Amino acid sequence: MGLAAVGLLYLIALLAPVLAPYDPAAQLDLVAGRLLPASLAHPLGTDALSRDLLSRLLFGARLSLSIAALAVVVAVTVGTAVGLAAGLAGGVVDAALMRSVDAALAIPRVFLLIVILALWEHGGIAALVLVLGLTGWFGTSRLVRAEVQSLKQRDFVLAARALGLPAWRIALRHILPNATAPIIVSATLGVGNTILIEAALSFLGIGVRPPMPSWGNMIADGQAFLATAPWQAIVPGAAVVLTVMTFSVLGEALRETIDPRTR
Amino acid sequence: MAAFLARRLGAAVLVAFGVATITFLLIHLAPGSPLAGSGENPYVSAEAIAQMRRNFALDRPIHIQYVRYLTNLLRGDWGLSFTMHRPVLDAFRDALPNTLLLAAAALLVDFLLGVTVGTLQGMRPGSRFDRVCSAVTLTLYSVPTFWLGLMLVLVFGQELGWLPVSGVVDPALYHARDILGKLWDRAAHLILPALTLGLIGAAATARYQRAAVLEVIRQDFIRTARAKGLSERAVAVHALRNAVLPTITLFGLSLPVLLSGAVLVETVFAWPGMGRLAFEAIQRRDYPVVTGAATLVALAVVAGNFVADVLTRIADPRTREAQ
Amino acid sequence: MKPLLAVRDLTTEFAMPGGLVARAVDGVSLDLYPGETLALVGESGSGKTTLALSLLRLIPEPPGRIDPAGRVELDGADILRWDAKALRRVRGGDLAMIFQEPGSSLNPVMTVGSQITETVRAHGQPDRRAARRRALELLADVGISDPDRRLGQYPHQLSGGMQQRVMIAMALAGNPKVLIADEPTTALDVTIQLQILDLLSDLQRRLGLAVLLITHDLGLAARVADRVAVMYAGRIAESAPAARLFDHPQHPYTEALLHAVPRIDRDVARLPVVPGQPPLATQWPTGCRFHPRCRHAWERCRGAEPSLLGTDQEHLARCWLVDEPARRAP
Repeated sequence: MGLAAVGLLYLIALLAPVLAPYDPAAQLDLVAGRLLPASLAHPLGTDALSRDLLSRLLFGARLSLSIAALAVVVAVTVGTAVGLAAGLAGGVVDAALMRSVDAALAIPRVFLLIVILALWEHGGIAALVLVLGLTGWFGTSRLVRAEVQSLKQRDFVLAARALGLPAWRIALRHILPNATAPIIVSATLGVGNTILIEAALSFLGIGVRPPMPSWGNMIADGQAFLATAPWQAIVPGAAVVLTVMTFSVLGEALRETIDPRTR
Repeated sequence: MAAFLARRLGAAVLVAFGVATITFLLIHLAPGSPLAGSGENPYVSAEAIAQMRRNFALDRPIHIQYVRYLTNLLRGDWGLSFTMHRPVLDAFRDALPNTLLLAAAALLVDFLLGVTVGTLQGMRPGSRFDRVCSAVTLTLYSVPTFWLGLMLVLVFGQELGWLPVSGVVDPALYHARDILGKLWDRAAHLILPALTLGLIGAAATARYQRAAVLEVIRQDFIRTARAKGLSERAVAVHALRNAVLPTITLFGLSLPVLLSGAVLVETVFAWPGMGRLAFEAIQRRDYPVVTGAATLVALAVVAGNFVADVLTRIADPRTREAQ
Repeated sequence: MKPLLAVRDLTTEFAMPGGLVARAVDGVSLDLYPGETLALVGESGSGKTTLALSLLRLIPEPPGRIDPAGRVELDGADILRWDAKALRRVRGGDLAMIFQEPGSSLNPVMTVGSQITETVRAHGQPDRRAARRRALELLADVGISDPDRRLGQYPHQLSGGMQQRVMIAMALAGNPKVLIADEPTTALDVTIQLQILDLLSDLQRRLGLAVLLITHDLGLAARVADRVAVMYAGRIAESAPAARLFDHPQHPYTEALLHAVPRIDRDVARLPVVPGQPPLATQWPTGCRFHPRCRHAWERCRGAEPSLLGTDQEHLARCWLVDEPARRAP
C-alpha cells in the first residue's frame, strides 16, 4: 500500500504539466485575482501574485520529490561506496574513514546546509541536490560497513574468497546484493527526511529559490497572509506532511517485509 | 574519573577545533565578499573599502587569517562584527540567553512528553493507546518544524487569541508590569516556540523510547522482577532504568540539533536569538559572527556529548569501570 | 501424603505467526511433595521451561495462553484462578524461581542490595532497615563472603557463580515453600555447577524446601533428585523415583537420553544424542509423539497415543511397551 502511495505521488509529480490547470509562474490577474479562495476556476485559490495555487503545488511536488530522490541517490551511492571500502579494507583505512564519518555526524546537518547554501547562493537546483546528497551519506556508510563486517564472516563469502575471487568481485557479486534490503529501507526513510530538510531550506529562502515553486517557499510566501488567507500556508504544509508520512510508512513496511533482521 | 574527564576534554577540543576550521574554510572559500555591497555604493570610496579590508585583515592570505582567527579565539577575542559594528561576543551575549531559554524549554517538552508517552506505549505494545500514539508520533515526525509553528500561530495566536506569537516580551506593555506580570509575559511568549520545537522532538523521542522499552521488557531481568512478586509499577521502574540509557544518548545529540532547529523557529516567531543572528550574518557575509556561531555550535556538540557521557556513567554502572 | 504443589492437565499454547498454534505444554499433571526434589528432564523444546513459567503465570499473554481447564494447586488453592494481587504474593513468596542465566536475570543497573531488599520488602518486611539486615543474612546464607560490600555492588562486578547465589538469596527472601530452578547451572563452569548444586541441596535440607529442578542433564538429575519426570513433546513421557528410573527406564526416550549422558570414559561429551529431530510444537506427531524417533515403534504407536501406563503408581511411562513388552526390539 505504501508502495502504491509513493507510486501515485511520483505519478502526480511526473504528470504535473498535464494535471496543472495553469502555468505555475503565470501571474494571471494582478488586479482582481490575488489571494482568491478556492473556486471552480482555482481549486485551491490563488496566491498574492495571482498565481494558481494548485498548479504551483503540483509543480512543487515535482521539484521536491525529484530533488529528494536524486539527493538520496547521491547519498546512497557515496555512502555505499565508502561503507564497502571501509568494511572490506579494514585496518587503518576503515578506522580513518569511520572516524571521519563520526566527526561529520557530530555537526548538525541543518546548520552545515544553511552555511553552505547561504554562501553559495547561485548554485541552483543541481547544487542543492549535490549538497543535500553529500551531507546525507554518513548514516548509510555506517550501515553498509556494519553489513559488510557481518557478511564477511559468512560461509558463502569465505568460500568465494577461498576460490580466489578478487575483492571487488566479492563485494559487488556476493556482499552488496545481501546488503540491499537495509540500504533500501534507509533510502526510503531518507527521501522523506530530505523532503523535510529541503522544505526548511526553501522556507528560509536558500533552498529552491523563487520564482520556482517548492512547498517550502510556498509556505514562506503564505506566512505573510496567515491572517487573511491561511490556506496559502496550510495547503503546501499539508502536502509535505502527507508526502513525508507516506515515505515513513513505506520505509517501516519495507523494514518489516524485506529486512531479514526484523523477522 | 580524572582520566575520563581528561580524555573527554581532549576530544572536546578536537571537535571544537574541527568545526571552527571547517566553517572558516567554507566561509572563506565561498564566492562573494563581505564588502561587495559597499563596492557598489557610490558614497563609499575605494579608499574606505581598502581601509576596511586592512582593518579586518581581509587583504592577508587565508592561512594568515586562519591562524589569526584561532589565536584570537583562544584569547577570548571573537572579533568585531562587520555589519553590526560591535564585538561579536556582545551580540552573542544578547542573543544567546534567548536561544538557551528556548532550547531548555523545548528540551523539557521534548523529553518529558517523549519519554512518558514512549514508555507507556512500550509497556503495552499493540494496545489502543499504543496505536493511537504511534499514529500521532508518526504524523508529527513528518511535520516541518516551521510549518507546525505557523499552524500554532494560526490557531492559538490568531483564531483563539490566547498567546502572543512574536518576540520575547510585549514591547509596549512589558515595562509597565509588575514582577509577576513580567514573568507571565515572558512565559506566554515562550510557550508557542517551545512547543513547536519540543513537540516535534517529542515525537522522535517517544518513538525511540518505545523501541527501547520494547527491547528491555523482553529481557530476563524483567521476568525475574515479576517472578519476585513485584507490582507492575515496580517492574516498570526496573524497565525504565534500563530503557533510559539509549535515550540519554539521544538527549546528548539533541542539544546541537535544537540549536540549528532554532533558526527556523526563531524566524517564525521573530525570536531574537542565536539562530536568527547567525542566519542573518551568513546572508550578509559577516564572517566573524558566522565563525563565532559555528564555534558555539561546536561547543554545543561537545557539551551535548559530555552531558550524555556523564549521565550515562551515572545511570549505567557498567560504564564506570571501563577505563 | 498430600502434595504441596499439584499440577493437573496444564496446557499452555502460543499463537505463532501465520495462525499456527504451538501447544508447548499439553495436558501435564505433576505432584511435588514437601521437602522433595523433583527433576523435570527433557531436550530443549520439550516444553519444560514453559511449564515452569506457567506455574508462576510468567508466560507473556499474548501470544501465550494457559488453558483455564488446567489447575496449579498450591496447598489446595488454584493459582490459575487468583487475581493479580494474590498472584504477586505467591510469586517470590511461597513459590520462588531461579533462572538459567544469572547474568541477564539480574537488573544490570541496580545494586545487588536493592534487588534483594525490594524482594524482602515486597513480601512482608516493609521496613527499610530490617529489609537490609535480612538481605545481609540471606547473602550469608547462600555462602557469599563479605556480604556488606556485596550489597553495594552491581551484578557485572560478580562472577557467574556469585550471581546465581544472589539469585538464590533473592528467591529465599520471601521464605518460599517451593523453589523452581530452571537450568540453574547450565550457564556456569563445571566446578561452579557443583558448588551451586551443593548449595541447593544444603538449603533444601535446612529450610525443608520442595525443589522443582528443570534440566536437560540426566547426570545432574541423578545427583540431586528424589524423583524424575521426563518430558517429551509437551507431555510427561515417564516419571519414577530417581533410582528406579535410572536402573529400569521404561520409555525408549528415557533410554536414549541415558545413553546420551556424557561419561568420563568417553571422550565425546553429549554428542550421541537421541537420533532424529525433536518435533515442532506447532505439529506434534499423531499417535505416540515419540514414534518417529523410536526404534521399537509399530502400528499401534502410529495410530494411538498411550496414556501414562505402569504396574504401580510410582513408575509410569507413556509407552505401549508397558502394555506389550514382547514388542521390544532387540
